[in-house]
This record gives sequence, C-alpha cells and structure tokens, in this order.
Amino acid sequence: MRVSFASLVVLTLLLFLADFAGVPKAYVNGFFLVASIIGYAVIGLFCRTTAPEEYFVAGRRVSAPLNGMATAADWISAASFIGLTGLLLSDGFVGDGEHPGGLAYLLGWTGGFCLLGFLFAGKLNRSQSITIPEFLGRRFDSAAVRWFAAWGAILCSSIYLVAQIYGIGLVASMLSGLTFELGVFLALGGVLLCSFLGGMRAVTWTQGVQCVVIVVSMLALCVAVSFKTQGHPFFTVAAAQSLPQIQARAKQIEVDPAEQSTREVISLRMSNLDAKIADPVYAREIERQAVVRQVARAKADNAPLREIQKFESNPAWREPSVDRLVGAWQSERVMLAEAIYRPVGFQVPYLEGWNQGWLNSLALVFCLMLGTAALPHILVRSYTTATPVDAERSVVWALGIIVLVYLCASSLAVLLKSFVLTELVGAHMDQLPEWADRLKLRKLALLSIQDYNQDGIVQFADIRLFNDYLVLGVPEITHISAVFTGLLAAGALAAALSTADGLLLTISNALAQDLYFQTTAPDAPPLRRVMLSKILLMVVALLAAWFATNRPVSILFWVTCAFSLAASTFFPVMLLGLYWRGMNRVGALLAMGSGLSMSLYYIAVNHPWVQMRLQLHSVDTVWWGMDPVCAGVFGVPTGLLLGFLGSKLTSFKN
Amino acid sequence: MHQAPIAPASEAPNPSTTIDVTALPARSLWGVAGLVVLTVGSMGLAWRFPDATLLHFLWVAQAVPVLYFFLAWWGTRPSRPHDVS
Repeated sequence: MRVSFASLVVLTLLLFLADFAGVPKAYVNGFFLVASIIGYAVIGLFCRTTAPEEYFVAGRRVSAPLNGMATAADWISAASFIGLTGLLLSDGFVGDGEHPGGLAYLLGWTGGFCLLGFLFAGKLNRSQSITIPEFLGRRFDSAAVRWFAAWGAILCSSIYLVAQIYGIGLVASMLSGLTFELGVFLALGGVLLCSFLGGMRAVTWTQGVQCVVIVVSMLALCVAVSFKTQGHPFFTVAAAQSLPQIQARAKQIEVDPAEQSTREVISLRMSNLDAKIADPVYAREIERQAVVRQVARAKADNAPLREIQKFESNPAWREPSVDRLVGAWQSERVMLAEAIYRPVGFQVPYLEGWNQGWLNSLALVFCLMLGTAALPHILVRSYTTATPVDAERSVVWALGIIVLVYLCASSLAVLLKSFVLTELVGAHMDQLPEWADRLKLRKLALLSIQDYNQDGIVQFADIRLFNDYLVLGVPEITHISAVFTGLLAAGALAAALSTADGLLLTISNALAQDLYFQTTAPDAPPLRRVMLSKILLMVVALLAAWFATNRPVSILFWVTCAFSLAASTFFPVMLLGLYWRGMNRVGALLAMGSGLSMSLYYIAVNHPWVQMRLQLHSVDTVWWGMDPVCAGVFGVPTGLLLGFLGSKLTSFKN
Repeated sequence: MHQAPIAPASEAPNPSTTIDVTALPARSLWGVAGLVVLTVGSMGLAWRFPDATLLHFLWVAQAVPVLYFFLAWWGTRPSRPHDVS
C-alpha cells in the first residue's frame, strides 16, 4: 500500500511538471487512464491463482486494515464517488419538500456499515462459507434457499453492475477521448484481467490500491479547491466559511425578477407539455405542421443547415412512435420541473420542516442502511479475514475511509456551489465564464444552459447541471491545474472498477457455485469449479458491458434501487436466520420471496416506461408518497413479517 | 449455544464448521439503538430547522458520519471471550 501511495504521488508530481511544461491535457489525462488500467492488470497477473480457497476467499488471511480498504473500494462506487457531490449540489441538503435530499444518501451510505459490523460481519466470518447463498443454504439446510438466494444475489448485483460499467464508460471516454462504447470495453479489459486471473486474491490487492487512489484523489482535489477559495487546506472550514455568502447570494437570486420570469416561462412550457401528453396524436400533428412551416421558411431564407436540423430535431418530427414521443415529452417535463423546484442554495425557501420530503428521506436512509448491510458483494468480504474480530475491525476501517471521502464530497458540493452562483448566474449568454463554455461543449457535456426568458442573461433556472458526473468538471470550474482532472478521473475509474470487480465475482460465483455445481455437479473437483467461475465471470462482464452500452441509465437511480432490492431480499432472512432459532427454511423462502417481490413490484409499477405501457398514473401506484427507490421500506417489513409467520406456522404444523 | 443443523457434505463445501444462532449481544443491541437515535435525531433536527444550512452541513453532513465511525468502533469491540480466539 505504501508503494502504491508513493507511486501515485510521484506520478502526480511528474504530471504536474508535464502540465507546467505545456504537455497537452489530453496526453496527461490519457496517461492517468492507461497507467491506472495497466497497474490494476499487473496486480491481477501477479496474484493469479487456481487454488479455490485463494480464488474465492483470498485464502481467508487478509488483515483487517487491508480488508477494510478493499471493502471501502468495493463499496465506493461510481455513484457515490462521482454522483454524491453533484447530488448535494443540485438537490440540496434537505430536498425540495417532496423528495429526499442529499443528506439522506450521506447518512444511509455510512450508517449501514454500523449495522454490518454489529449484526453480520463476525457471524459470517465464523461460518467459513464462500458465498452468501451457500451460507443461507447451510443455515437452513436447504438447496431451495440457496438457489433462491443465488438468484437474488445475481439480480441485485447485476443492476448495480450495469450502473458501474456505465460509470466506467463515462470516465474512460472522458479521459481518453474515445467513444463511450470503446471506453467501456477498454476499461473492462482491466477489470477482467484482474478478477479473471486472480479472483478474490487479486481483487483484494487491487481494491487496496484503488482505495489509495480514491482517497488521495478526493483529498487532493478538496484541499486544492479549499486553497483556491479560502487560502487554506481545511476543506470543512473553507466550506463553512463559504456557506453564509452562498446563502446570501441564493436569497438575492430567489427574489430577482429575471429569475421569476424564467420560472414563469418554464411553468408555461410544462403546462403545454401536459396538454400534449394528454392528447399526443393531435399534438403531434400540430407540431409536425409547425415544423414543416419552419423548415420551409428556413430553406426559403437560405438559413444554415444547422438551423434546419434544429427544427427537425423536434421529437414530434423525429419520433415515429407515439409512445416514444410521449416518453420524450415526459423526460422534458421532468427536466423542466427539476429546473424550477431544485433549491438555489441548499434548501428550498419557505420549506415546512415536517413534509413528504422528511418521510421520503427517512425511508431512503432506512433502505440505504439496510441495503449496505445486505449487499452480497460487501457481505462476502467478511469471509476473507482470518477471524471474526478481524472481520468486524475491517468494517470499522472501511467506514473510516468512506467517511473521509464523504466529508470531502459534501465540502466540495458547498465550495462548488459558490462558483456556480457567483460566476455563472448573472453572466451574459455571449460572455460565459471560460469553464462554462468548455463544460458545455465537451463530448460528454457536464452543463447545459438555455435562455428561457430570452433576456440574454443566465438565470439559475436556465442552468442544467449533469449531477451524475458533474464532479469530473471540478478542476475546470474552480480553476485549478488540469492534472487534477486526470487524478480525479483516475479516482472515479478506481471507484467504478473496484465495485465492478467485486460485483463480477459475486455474480459469477453465484452462477457457478450456487446454481450450476449445486444442482448439476455437486461433486465436481475444485479446479473445475474455479475454471467455470472464471469463464462465467468473463461472460457476465461482456453481457453487462453490452447492456450498459445499449441502454443509457441514471447511475444513481439504479444503484439506489439495487440497495432497496438487496435490503428486501437479504436483510430479513439474515437477521432472523442469525438471531432467531425458530427461523426455518419455509420462513427463509417466504422472507426472501415476499421482500424481493414487494420491492420489485413497487419499483416496476412506478417506472415511467411501465406506467406509459399499462396506462397507469402515479396517483394510483405511489403508496403514501414514497419514491420508488425507497421500495425497501415496504419490502423489508413484508419479508420480516412473512419470514416470522411462515416459520411459526410450519413449526406448529410439524 | 444452540446450533442449527448443517447441510450434507455434497451441499456444503466446508461442513466442518457450523453456523451458530445466538441472541444479539448487548453491545451490538446498544449500537443499533445508538444508530437509530443518532440518525433520526439528527435528521429530525435538520428537518425541524430547514433554513439552518450551516447546522445541516456541520452537524449532519460532517459530524454525524464521524460519530457513526466511533459508534461502529465501540460496537464492534470484542465483548465475548471467544471473539478474540
């Protein structure tokens, strides 16, 4: 670890020198990408193994600090490393009164490790199992429980994995200038070399190094931005110093007549969209006629091709299917609603404390905490230490590292907000700050600005920040060296790759160990088990990459759904199974099945695509105003209740 | 200590170890209670005073995660003699 830290520092210093010497930024960024991937692949090569104990559980002798670092890297995903700062910046701390704010994510993602340490880590280690489904199968002496748990683990991990690979593609394409698809496959090569050759042993060492990269990149960035804004390295203090100015500026913006007029224009557009969505066939005809007239006029005036293409990009002209057209209008409406409902500062003005947002925030914290404690790829790390005490200590190490990264992320959100409010809001559309122009025009745009009220001035509601990956633009926004872009992207890549590594191993081991060998070849020799796991790992990685390149996803949404699903599927059965002697296999199956079904149903029935297909309305499908990502708030109690009742009833019968 | 039955050898790759089903240790129970109180209390404070942004940042976003760390450290300290073995 010391070597990796020293190498990273030396590499960064060398690249600082290269930056000062005028080496193009693309080369500096590209170097970070290539060096990272090669480094991880080399570790995979050095740690290659075919011994089952090494491949599946790293020999069960990983020390608590290293296991903690690996767990932290495994856990800090693209969503939390790249997305949390953008989320806090955009949604504020306590939300908009209806949806959860950024604080809910922060507390849920950290508090879950307390539950993991208190409830599960030591007990799992003591069981000496290899996978979570195997552990449950042994606990309840049931192949059916193991089979069901394997599918649950595959489902939760696959959703999470696609979101990670999407994140890998974003970062790799941003660093290398390659297309998104090529970026995905390039970075995936690094993941595969590592986890394919060395399994858990290689993944543990790689994740240890990735943890160093994640922490150093986040800390270095935060310290640099703190220096830039307040002249000292204490980022928490710098953020606290900036907050009063941000609040004063936010109040000024909120009462600005130009801001009000922008919001009125946006509200009017939303009403128009509502009317179109209500009668899409008629609206499409009217829009198409308007486009025909606009294009004819533009051609008659010899307008540039770009202007004609702009008219033709109207979804009513472009989309042949009414369903897709309605989908496009709904997406536009969501984007407009975000523009006017998100807070200018860190909270919406005149917010009443006890509102739907409070309930949603509590529900989200519940789902994220229980999900963190029940994610199979995190739980499996408890098997790799020598003793139960080490497993519990490693959870504390992991939490310490994660807390450090999150302290940076929340401070960064505050510091970044001051740049947006002071430099961008109020600027002339034709004299934007240099960074805004750059972020707008990048292949992977981090920002878009539309002058809704046509006054030539940027208002807050005109700005759309792409939260999922906005943090990648921090060095440009805050005017610090371009080397930080590469360093930050290396950190983001490490976060996404490390999580993808852990998820791939979990999925392939569930497929090979818990499904194939359990049912088809229970007496298969160990070498065959390892080889099949490796082959399945490659197949799963390629499938996930293909899925990610075909379907753009919101990283944060799907990651949060994965937490709800994991909490509903595994938390009730683990809790009752480990601490209640009366829990039996019927109860276990009922707990997993009902929890998973309930959460899946709630997420699916509230998804816009499903609602459009089945002609459903949110008013009928949303229960007590709960966001779909909080599905676990229904799934976990259902699983606990049915697990308890199922066990009680069958034990009476017996 | 009550032991749950273990699976047959074909199903369990390492059948020499058993899975123990015990009551939740007192320290863990107190840890979970502390986690609930700290989380709900801090969120209640933040949502009760939605305009107090500095409080949200310093207490909920910065101090509470650090307190979680100390809580996890305290709650996972070995309290049973066989834990350290």
